[in-house]
Amino acid sequence: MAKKLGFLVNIERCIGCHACEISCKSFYQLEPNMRRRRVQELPEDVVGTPVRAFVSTACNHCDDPACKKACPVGAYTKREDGIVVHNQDLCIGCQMCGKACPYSVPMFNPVKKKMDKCSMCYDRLDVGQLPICVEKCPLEAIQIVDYNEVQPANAVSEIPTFADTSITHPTTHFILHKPGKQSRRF
Amino acid sequence: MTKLTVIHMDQGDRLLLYQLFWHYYRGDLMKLTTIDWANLAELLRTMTVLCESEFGNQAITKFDEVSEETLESFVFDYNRLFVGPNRLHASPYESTYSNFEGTIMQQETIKVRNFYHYEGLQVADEGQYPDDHIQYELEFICYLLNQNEKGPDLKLFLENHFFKWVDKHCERIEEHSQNQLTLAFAYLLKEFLQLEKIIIEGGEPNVN
Amino acid sequence: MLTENFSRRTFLKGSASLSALLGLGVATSQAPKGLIPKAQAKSNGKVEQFYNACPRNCYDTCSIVTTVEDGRITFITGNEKNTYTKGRLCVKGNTYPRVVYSPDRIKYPMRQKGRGSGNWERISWDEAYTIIAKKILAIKKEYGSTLPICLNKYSGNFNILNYATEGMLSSIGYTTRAQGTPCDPAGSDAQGFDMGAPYNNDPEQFLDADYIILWGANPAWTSAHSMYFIEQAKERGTKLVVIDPLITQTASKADEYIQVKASTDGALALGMIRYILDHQLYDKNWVSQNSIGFNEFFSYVKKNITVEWAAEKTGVPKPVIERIAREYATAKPANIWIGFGMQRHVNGGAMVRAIDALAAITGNIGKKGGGVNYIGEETWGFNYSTMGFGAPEGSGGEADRYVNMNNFGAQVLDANDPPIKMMWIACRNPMAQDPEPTVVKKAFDQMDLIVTADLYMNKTVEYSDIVLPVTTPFESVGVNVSYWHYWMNVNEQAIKPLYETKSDLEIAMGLSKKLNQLKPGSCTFPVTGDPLDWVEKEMNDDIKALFNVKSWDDLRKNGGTAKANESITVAWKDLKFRTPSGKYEFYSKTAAEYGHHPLPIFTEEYKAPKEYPIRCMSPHWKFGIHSQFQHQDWLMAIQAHPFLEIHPDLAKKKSIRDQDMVKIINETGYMTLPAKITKMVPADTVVMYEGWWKGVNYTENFTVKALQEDMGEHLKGQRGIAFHDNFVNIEKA
Ligand code: SF4
Ligand code: SF4
Ligand code: SF4
Repeated sequence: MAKKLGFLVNIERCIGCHACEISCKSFYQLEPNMRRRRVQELPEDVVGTPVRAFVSTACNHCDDPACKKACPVGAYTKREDGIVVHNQDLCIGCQMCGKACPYSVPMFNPVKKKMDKCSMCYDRLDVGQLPICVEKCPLEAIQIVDYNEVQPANAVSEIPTFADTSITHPTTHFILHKPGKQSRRF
Repeated sequence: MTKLTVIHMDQGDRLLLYQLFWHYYRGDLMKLTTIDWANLAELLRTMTVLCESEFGNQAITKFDEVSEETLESFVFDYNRLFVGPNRLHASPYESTYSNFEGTIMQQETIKVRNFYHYEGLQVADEGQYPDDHIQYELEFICYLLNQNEKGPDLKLFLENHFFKWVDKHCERIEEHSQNQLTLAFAYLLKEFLQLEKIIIEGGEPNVN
Repeated sequence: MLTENFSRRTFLKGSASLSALLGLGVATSQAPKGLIPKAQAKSNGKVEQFYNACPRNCYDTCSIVTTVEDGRITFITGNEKNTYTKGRLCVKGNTYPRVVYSPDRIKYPMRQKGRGSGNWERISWDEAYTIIAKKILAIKKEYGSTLPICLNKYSGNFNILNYATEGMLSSIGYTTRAQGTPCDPAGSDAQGFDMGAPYNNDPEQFLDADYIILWGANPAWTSAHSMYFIEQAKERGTKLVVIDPLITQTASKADEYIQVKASTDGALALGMIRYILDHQLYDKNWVSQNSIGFNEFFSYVKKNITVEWAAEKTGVPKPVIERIAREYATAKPANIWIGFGMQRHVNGGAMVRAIDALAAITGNIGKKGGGVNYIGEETWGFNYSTMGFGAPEGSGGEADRYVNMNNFGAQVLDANDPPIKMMWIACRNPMAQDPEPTVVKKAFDQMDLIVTADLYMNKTVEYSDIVLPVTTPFESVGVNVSYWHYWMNVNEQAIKPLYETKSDLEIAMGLSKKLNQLKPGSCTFPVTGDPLDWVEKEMNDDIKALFNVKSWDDLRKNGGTAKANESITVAWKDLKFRTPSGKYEFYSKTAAEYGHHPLPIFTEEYKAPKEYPIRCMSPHWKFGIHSQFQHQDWLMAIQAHPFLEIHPDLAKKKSIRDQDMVKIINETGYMTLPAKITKMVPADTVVMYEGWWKGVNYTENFTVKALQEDMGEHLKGQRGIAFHDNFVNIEKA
């Protein structure tokens, strides 16, 4: 059976450091504002007690990719293993994919005048290496999982701040933050 | 800006101007006197097409009217724009114009280096000084221009590199210059660039 | 140059007239050589990898692998052979390619005409050395010594070879030194009194801990690699307790977070101790065999401390103190990590002594996975051969003179007989990082010559006369160890130094050469030397044995990183303390000699003045180390401006909404910055993170007074600064 690859993001482990985002930027030598992966702060009362919690997301390599549907020149393909690949050579920079994606993942690169998004480092995966963000997160908070093989315990597909998953069926899953005890003065 | 279709500028004039800019960006012209500058203005006046252009004329006038105060602050302004130690106000490196931050030693730098290599040349201290400093690009242009058979290579280099960024470089100088000489050179370079584009591309000048 | 190298044709019609016209034939330009015929052997597309070491003032001191293509750095990441770095860097380390190729780098030696004017002229290294050397010799002649020359260097680069700057200054005679550290002094002294030295367990041993208390430490931001081990331990069932006045990123990950009133951590520890003693949960054997003064301490606690009092004092409920005390005392082993931030108070040293005592009475010291971990220096036994040349003959004065780095401006101004006339600044940005920057500026104003060696334009460079461009770690060689983990990392030269940059070591040799030219014998520092030889000279037999390496070069060829052998990775394993008694000293005569109470007693916190009732803390920031990193574009794209964290209750009282501009003020200074309303800070405290922000003309230090910590003289020469005892008022701007 074909693989169904997706990211598994461990919010419990994530310290919001942005090393995933920056190591990706460094590896692909991207401009400061181009983000294939982005780290976002969750509302501080997301688990009831106030905490600093973050979630790191990239392209969700959706089962029903809206980007692919919207692209007028067929720059998007979904590989058998589930990775949604954007071909910059074909891209005409019309930005339709960016508008269609519920997660605003494809970004316009104003220098190249083309869209740009996470490819799950498929060329690294194809030679047995991990995606850069997975390999470089100091907390090992990001994994690649073959969801046809394993259904990791505690993994959920929805978190607050994440758009309705029924539209494109993203493959990304999350492990939520477990709130600890707090004895606060305020 | 210039609207000319017939260009009266021979190979010698072009070389002279490229060489002038080369010397300028090497820092050779920092100690000239007001008389030297006036002499330069006189020399440039022999190039009709320059005198008749708006910015060429302004530049020449500025060389003519260089004052002692201008000479005093010339080096400081030159350094603020091109040398440091502050963040450069008008970076002289090509790659800095192709990314937002102005980072040096990028992909463009290596492309420029490869061009030099292709012609059998290299920067003497390769790896220490970014290959796409305008000084090297100008020297390279002079080298190609001085050999008739290198016409196609010159065209390629100008179109793929020099023409791509030097306009923006001049704009930054105009925006940040605090000195009549640095401004004059920006005017002269920008005007000359227009003329070069006409010659190389053989058509209407780019008027925007 | 073009004409000489590759064209024998009659050269350009124009060129002749130009040269005649402008006298270019004689122009003495500083321009680098131009284009030359390409060397035959050049091969494009060559990819190489080098080992580097992150030399910043950071616990993690990472081993780095640098990828270089065609002589250009294309990727920088962690070294997988180092089990602590684990092939991963923190967010800051990931920006290194931008550090090297930043358009902000200083490229050439330059001289400023008029300090602060921004009018810079380029000079050659030779000119720079000449100006500096002449000034040094003139000062020596006028004052009979080199004491009017002051060095201010600290933590910007901890490469062992960078001590060449200190060495160079020692080699010209006796000078004035900025002494001390703003970092750890009170806590280090405290551990010095208790155990003879600060000495921490290998952080990889968090995995062996049964219970972890992070006491005022925020490794999620300041030591990401340690946080990995802590999270791993947590997942294996170790309980993580975080005690901190702020809900830090680390506190957000705790199984239990305890919000203590700032600067009352000592009371909390003593309250726990009282409970442990009352309930016989202490390790009687350990105490009787390995300590002195326990009985005195015991009776002090019985007489002066109650859990109720501690609860009152700290704001932590009594049942919580009791439960944590019991859990800590019964877990084996239990690990405490004391953060530097916790001791940046007027009673910081006393608080650390109380926490040490807690670890001691429970027998957690000397145990793998346990310990009361603060800082360590066991792996720093290099030769420091750059420092050993001594003053030349005929140097005036008898010894170096010290001014307190932590009150630098005022003490420089006070120094007389002789006054301070010249300043050398390296690996530091005092105009941004020191308290009371206006006073520092006054001290600068009094100088005849200020020389700063730096990577980037910053506030200190702006007020310098001469700036010397320095190399990044990737452009020079070196060796690094950590004050936290137990690895040694080599630093290879990965690329050519850009422009005219030089390392501190090369600068030292260059200046010495010039001094000796002008006046033979005036500087004992060697005038030449290959940095590779210098770095090899750092390795002595003890270091080689400790790390089981043959030489620096051998390590370079074999993975670039080595871990110290296990004999030292458990602190105080042999229970032979370095105190006068050889035991753990609850009762320390040394402490008494320095004017402190001999016992780890409670000392009061600094009280807020009436007009300035709000505490303003300035902890370390996740995208920076002091004035480094935050200004890189990749980080600016995430957060470009400082902000002030304010609790919603306080904000409401002051009618401040999120993103409003807030003025923060006290008797030292003021600044205005946007508010971030958050429950992460208590309502009696605001937080402004420490750092240098590009394009922002103030720093957190604008309101910081040079208020002293209680300890520091014993091991660090000077007391530290109570950065977190800074009180202010705020209003909507
Ligand atoms: S690198 Fe890891 S810990 Fe840091 S923000 Fe990304 S996912 Fe979170
Ligand atoms: S997240 Fe957006 S860009 Fe990525 S596959 Fe889904 S729809 Fe396409
Ligand atoms: S700043 Fe610290 S954690 Fe980051 S790369 Fe450097 S040593 Fe490692």
